[in-house]
Amino acid sequence: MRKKKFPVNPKHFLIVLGGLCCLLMIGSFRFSEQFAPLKTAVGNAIAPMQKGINTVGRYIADQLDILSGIQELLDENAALKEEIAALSYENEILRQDQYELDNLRELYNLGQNYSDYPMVAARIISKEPGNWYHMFTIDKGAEDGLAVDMNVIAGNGLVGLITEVGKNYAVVRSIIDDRSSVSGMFLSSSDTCIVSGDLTLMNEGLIRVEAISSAADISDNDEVVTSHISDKYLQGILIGYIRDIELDSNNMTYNAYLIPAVDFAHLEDVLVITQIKEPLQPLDDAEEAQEETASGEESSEEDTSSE
Amino acid sequence: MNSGRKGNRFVIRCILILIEIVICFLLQTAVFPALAFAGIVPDLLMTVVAANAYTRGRITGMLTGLACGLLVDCCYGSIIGLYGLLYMVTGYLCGCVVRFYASDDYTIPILLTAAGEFFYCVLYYAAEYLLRGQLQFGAYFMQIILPRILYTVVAAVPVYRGINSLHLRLWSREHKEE
Repeated sequence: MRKKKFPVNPKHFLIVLGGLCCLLMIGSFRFSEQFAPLKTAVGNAIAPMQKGINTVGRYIADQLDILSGIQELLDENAALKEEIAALSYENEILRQDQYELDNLRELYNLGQNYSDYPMVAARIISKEPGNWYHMFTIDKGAEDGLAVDMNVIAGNGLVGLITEVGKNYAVVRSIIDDRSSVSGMFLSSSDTCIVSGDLTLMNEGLIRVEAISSAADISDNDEVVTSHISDKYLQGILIGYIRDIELDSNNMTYNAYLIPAVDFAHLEDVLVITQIKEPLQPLDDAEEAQEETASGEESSEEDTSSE
Repeated sequence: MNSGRKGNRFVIRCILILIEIVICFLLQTAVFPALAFAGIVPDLLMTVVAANAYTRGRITGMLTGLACGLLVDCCYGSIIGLYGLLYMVTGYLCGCVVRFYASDDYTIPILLTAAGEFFYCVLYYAAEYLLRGQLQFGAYFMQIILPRILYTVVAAVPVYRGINSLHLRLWSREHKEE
């Protein structure tokens, strides 16, 4: 090995180098200015390497920090999640309020449109199962002046008819119900038609329109409103828009479909028109009937369909 | 021809040791401070000195120590030569154990590193604190020396492994040539 052939005894070598170190120490202590360039030179050589490798060290340290910070983050995350839950609950309430406000504003506007009629606002409190409000209950009843056969509207169109009145509730049958049929009229041409709910079309949100005169001058998207010849529906309430007009097999009438103006899938608040279209009365009991309608308590209940 | 080859080997060894020193110095000064536990950084230079001294003997240990020490001196010391002297003496003492060298033994170099670190710390204490009249060696031992030794011993295992395998490779090549 090399060390055996080394010409100098290691002990002596150590002593010499030790002495050299001592001399260096003394020298650098006494003449620190002269040694300064040496130190800066070494520092200049080492510093870039340190800088380069320091980024590696920083990276590793950052990774370790991430690992050690995980528990902290988890705790913080749990706390924040709780906060989010509270906030989103609060937000949900606010949104509901906003939604209610929008609905009520809409109703208010509607009330302005049909302002000729006296109206009572009501909220839907229950409905028959299914997506569509074909039979539903509202939270106003006889106490609020409601009576059977009163018209119910919402948004910008007709919803249906009150079929049953309790003390503080009323049941409404909407126009998409299979049993419902409304005498309608085309706003543009005053041609009449019959708008009747259809179970098979209910899920598509459509209503069948029948008995349109073959002479009628109508086209798609014409507005259909309640007609003057209906005996239960007040005149001029928007029902919806016509589409898919077809000639019936009897060649005398047109059939069509109608898209209701009211979004029956998302109905929440409705307006009840507390005015009842006066029923046709025989001459002898006309006075009696007038009293009945004035009190607003009773009406003819024998036939649910309007036509 | 033979002497030329020997000179070559000598240069290669010097360069390799210098590279080891620079790498460990950079790790010790730039990487480990970011990973320091309780502000203590492992003394990787001591592991280099001890490993080289243990595998190659007193002269190598001494020179390695001197190089390490002077590097530290030039970068951080207030006066040049103090660290050099400390590392050199430690390297020399570690080199005395070279006759017990076995290529697959890890206990001796690790213990040697611990002892060298202890010796170095004591010398450092004597030079830097004792001379200024600071006599609380117990506190210094508990707070600085002991954690430093433990940390250094942990770091010494991979460092010694690398240096030893390098040494073995060089050694077998030299013997093949002869």
